[in-house]
Amino acid sequence: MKIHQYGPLVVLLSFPLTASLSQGAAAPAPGRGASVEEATLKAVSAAKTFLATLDDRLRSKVSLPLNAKTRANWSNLPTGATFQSGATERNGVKLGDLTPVQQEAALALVAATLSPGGYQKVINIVNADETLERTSAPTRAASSRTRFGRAEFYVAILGAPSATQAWMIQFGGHHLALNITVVGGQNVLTPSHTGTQPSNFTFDGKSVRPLGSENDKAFALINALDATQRKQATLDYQVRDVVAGPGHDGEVIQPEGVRVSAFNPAQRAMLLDLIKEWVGIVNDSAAAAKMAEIQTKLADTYFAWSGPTTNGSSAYFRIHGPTVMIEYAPQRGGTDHIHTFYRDPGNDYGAKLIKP
Amino acid sequence: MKCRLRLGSIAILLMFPGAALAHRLDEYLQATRLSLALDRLVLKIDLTPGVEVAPVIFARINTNRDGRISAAEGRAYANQVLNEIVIEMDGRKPHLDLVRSEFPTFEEMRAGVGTIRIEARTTWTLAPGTHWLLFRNNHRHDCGVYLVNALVPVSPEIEITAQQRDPLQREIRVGFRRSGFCAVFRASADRHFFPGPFQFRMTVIRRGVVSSTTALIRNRSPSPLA
Repeated sequence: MKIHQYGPLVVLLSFPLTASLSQGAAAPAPGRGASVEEATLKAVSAAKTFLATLDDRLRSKVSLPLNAKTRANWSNLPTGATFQSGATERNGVKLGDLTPVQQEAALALVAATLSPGGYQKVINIVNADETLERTSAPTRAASSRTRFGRAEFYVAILGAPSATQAWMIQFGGHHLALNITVVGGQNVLTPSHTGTQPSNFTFDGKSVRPLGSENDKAFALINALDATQRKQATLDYQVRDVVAGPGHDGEVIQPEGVRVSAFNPAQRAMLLDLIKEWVGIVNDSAAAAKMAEIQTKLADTYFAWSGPTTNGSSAYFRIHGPTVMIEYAPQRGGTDHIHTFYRDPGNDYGAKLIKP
Repeated sequence: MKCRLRLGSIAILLMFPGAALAHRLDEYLQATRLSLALDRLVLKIDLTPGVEVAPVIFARINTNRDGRISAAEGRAYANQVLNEIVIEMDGRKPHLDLVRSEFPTFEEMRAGVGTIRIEARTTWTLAPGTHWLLFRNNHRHDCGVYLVNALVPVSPEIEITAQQRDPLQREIRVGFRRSGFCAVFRASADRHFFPGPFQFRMTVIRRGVVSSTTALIRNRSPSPLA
């Protein structure tokens, strides 16, 4: 199959949102040392602050009811596509329709729900998409509705921000979908999507690989398995895309690969470190609780691999356990365009916490 | 590129070069999920043509060439896809009925982000014991890339015991088992489905040896995947 080759990336000149986005890593996050309840209170406060910057029209676009239809409206696709949910636009308002002050408040809300590292990963993905927009815009047909870039990232609040009642924060665009369900002191990040194209680029003079750690840790793990384990982990068929992307809520596939009960302690530690690349996007206290839950069921978790095992190759992998499902899928057999999805088979959208 | 392009399709592609930057190019992704239930098998098939094959696929669907996919054109294409899918259940070939189909616009397909969704099903009465299911997708194998997965059955009575695929995921053989416990009680009013061995199973269950019952059913119909 043919792999599209990019030309040299356009030099990144003026980015209206660069300042606020670049400062993301330094944005205050609740995680380290904070309790779960404190994280929720910070999210509630940041949500109310953001809403207060909006006029009635924008506030009504941002604030939507929380229900099965609204929460399922997320996608890996760019603006201009019909999403897997059937919708033609994401929930909420896009950054491009907000003033600098409103954008700052919107991103502060996102930062308030995430760990510092998770927020930086999100900003790296946004910057990758801005790079893609700069590359693709010059050759795009005037009639095309497809749009990439920072301006096309949407923020929405489903339900009323509350320290006790269920509500959700959605932030997403092309290659990003954060669905954070807040129920009292609990913050649930599943289902969520991270992706990138390009996967390696230069921004502000620095080399950026938004999903580089995921890639490198996975290759390290597959190469840390012994021959028997690796044989069990390796799927004897090609996997050219994810299975459990948007539009597949509630679908749980049969686990495959090597069962983690066969792993030694060092291999288990490597797997947990890999899993944390997704779980650790959310604030540290919520991530710690989720990691503890995953750890208790680690023996019943499976690790599956399809493709070469030399780092730099295009390979698909899946981590599938009772409370976690992660897929990492390079697109079109290359390494420059990556999709990943993170789900909890039993607790997407906080299903265990929200009484019907 | 594997799928054959007509001159007109190439012209359309050249008119929209920007579309090629983001997503699938010369592949036709065909992702299928198999959902096994006590009374039916449901297939959900997502078909996403790449940027370069979209004009070919669209032209195949839009037979009157008016630039839009009508309901009749959509049904005709969905049925063509189903006709090119092989399903075997314990060696028998059940008929697949189209339940619904959804089609994106040509612009979405041309951008590589348009997915055709087809749902089909076949009904059955799943007898207790072991079974195997063969699925093979023969649709557009000149440019198709494939995913096929069995979902964890909703019914606790059904357990998937094996999955075997070909290297391209065009084909999967699923071994599965329906446990007898609930089925026996359900079948008590309909005994003609369970000749001979049924009476024995009932006796065993009355004695409370449910595991022995399951073993008996397994032995009746050994899985070819075992």
